[in-house]
Amino acid sequence: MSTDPLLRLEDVAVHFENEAGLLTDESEVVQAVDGLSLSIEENDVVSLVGESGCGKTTLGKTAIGLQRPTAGRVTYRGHDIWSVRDGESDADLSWQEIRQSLQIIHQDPGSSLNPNRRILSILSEPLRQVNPELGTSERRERIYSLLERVGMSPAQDFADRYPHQLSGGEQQRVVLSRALLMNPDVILADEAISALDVSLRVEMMDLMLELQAVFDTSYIFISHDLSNARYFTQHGDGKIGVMYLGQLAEVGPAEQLIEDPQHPYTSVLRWATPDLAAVDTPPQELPMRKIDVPDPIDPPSGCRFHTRCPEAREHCRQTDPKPVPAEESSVRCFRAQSTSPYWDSEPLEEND
Amino acid sequence: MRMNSYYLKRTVRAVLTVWIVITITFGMIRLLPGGPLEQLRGKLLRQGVSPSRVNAMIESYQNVQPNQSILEQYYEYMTALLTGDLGQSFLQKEPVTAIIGDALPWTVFVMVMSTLLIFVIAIGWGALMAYWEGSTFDLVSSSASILFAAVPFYVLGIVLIIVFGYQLELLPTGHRLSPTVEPGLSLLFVLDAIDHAILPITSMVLTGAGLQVLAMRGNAIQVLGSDFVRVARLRGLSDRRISVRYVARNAILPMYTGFLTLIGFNLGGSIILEEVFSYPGIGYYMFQALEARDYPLMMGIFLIITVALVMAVYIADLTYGLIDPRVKSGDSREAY
Repeated sequence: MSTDPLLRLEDVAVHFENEAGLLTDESEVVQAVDGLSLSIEENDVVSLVGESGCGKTTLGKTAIGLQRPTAGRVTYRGHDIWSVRDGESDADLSWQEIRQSLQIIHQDPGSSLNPNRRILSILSEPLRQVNPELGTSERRERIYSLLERVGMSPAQDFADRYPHQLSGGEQQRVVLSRALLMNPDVILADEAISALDVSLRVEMMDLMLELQAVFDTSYIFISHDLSNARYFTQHGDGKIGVMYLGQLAEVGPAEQLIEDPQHPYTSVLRWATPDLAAVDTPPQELPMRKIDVPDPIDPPSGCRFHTRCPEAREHCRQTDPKPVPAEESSVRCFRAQSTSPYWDSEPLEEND
Repeated sequence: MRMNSYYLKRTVRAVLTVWIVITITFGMIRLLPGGPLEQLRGKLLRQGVSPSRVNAMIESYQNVQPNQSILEQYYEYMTALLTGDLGQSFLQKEPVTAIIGDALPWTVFVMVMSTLLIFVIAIGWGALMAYWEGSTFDLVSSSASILFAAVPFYVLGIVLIIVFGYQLELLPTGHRLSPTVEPGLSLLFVLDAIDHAILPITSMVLTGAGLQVLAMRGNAIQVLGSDFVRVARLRGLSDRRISVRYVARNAILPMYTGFLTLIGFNLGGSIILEEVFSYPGIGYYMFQALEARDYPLMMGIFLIITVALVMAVYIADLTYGLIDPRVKSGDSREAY
């Protein structure tokens, strides 16, 4: 039992079906996430980066049980969460317990807070749920001390306000506090810092990591910004997962992934992130053959990145590379394999 | 300080609106060619009343001395209004205030009941539709709402009178009380009053609820989709608590001003409704006054309806800050 990771996704796929409309006669299937495996340990940090529409959010939601996978399993401490939900599991934990231990922080803190309740009552709610035995004054004490801790003092003053009277950064702290008061095992931070001022982002990330130790929780950190993901992952001692069209192109520790990217797509992302690229490489041409993202309804054959990959060869078009797990990382590219038919095949023409 | 100036501004605006309405009606009635007083004079003269007596009568009807200048007349009229004197009805031979005093409670009863019922139905039904968005129930209800909203209340009223009044003989076809029942604090009176009000109220509610149901549905769908509701669900809160604490309150708030102003508008709508149901409220007398060119009565009722609408908006403006905390800090909402 103890060998089971906190949360594991096994070969998970999430397909959305576009129903046939008036003008189209066939329904289309969007492969938001396709055949993806990932595990999250206790007190772990996993960052997911990638372009818009690559399935980061869908993957995150699937991991915390908000989205039912069309194939594969999501297990929480070794139990398939969807069979627990359907009552088909003999596990000694309930859907309610799983539900409460997997929480989320949204991008827009303003819409995550009920505009008609004061901060105190917003934060009382999870406490009442998790610790029903607490008295009103005890609850208040705890909320005040947490507010002080997240840098909102005087706490009594802040607790008495309505959400619209707080700044975006303060609102996001309240949202984080509310998620943490549930005593969750995993918090999905879906672009949680993207709406904040750049100057506040690092502060917020530090706060999240500081509270991680206190509340004993793991984060799934979704970001489109590789440098934020790097900062967060590095300080949280976790992994970065680079997603491309519903698949994990590369997973690895922050420093290793950025200093020595194995997958061509990781290099592209690094190139596209100015504060990472400028350090050692001079500005250069876009290391990619095409700007456009392929349609997820009809993903390319073989390796999904081959239409844009600067290193693509004939073999990539025909065969889909399997993820190659190494010590701490995993790469889904033929170039990471020393022996592969890739090395003998012809490079793709420019216009392919 | 900000708040005070807000209240002050609202109050001044309300008073100003009423004053402008009074002035315009005063002016209009006097400026119209062949105005009411000329009409009355001609009528009385044709009836063979002596010209000096005619002048005296006109004076008593409208607090107006025909030989005064228009400014003097205006001054007299305003002072009379401020002392609560709306003049004398030509038709009923009674002070206008007495007629309004007798009729207004009935109209207010019917209209406030209708509006309350409209909103109770709208909130409940609209919330259910939002909750089951896309279901057959939602689809059928939406279509029915639009259908009912498209029917004018007076058409539905006539249909109701024919069906329930004449064919089934279940409910009275008009009047506010049975001839034998005296107003008083008796059960008989209350039941009889309700009995007579059912059809008018039903026709208002059925035709008025449609749009409000759709408005509530839209509000609730918007709130249901917001992140804070999703997070509350995720925490495993009960559906009941979420629907009351999170959805209902946020969805109902925007309807509050609509509710108050609809009461005001419905008082104006009473003119046709009460004529259809021969229900002697202010609308009924307004219609009679229009037919008989009973200008003092007409102006008096017009004034009451205007004041009611202005007051409704005024109250909505002043109280919105109490129920929605967001208004207090600046981004104020105004009913109109």
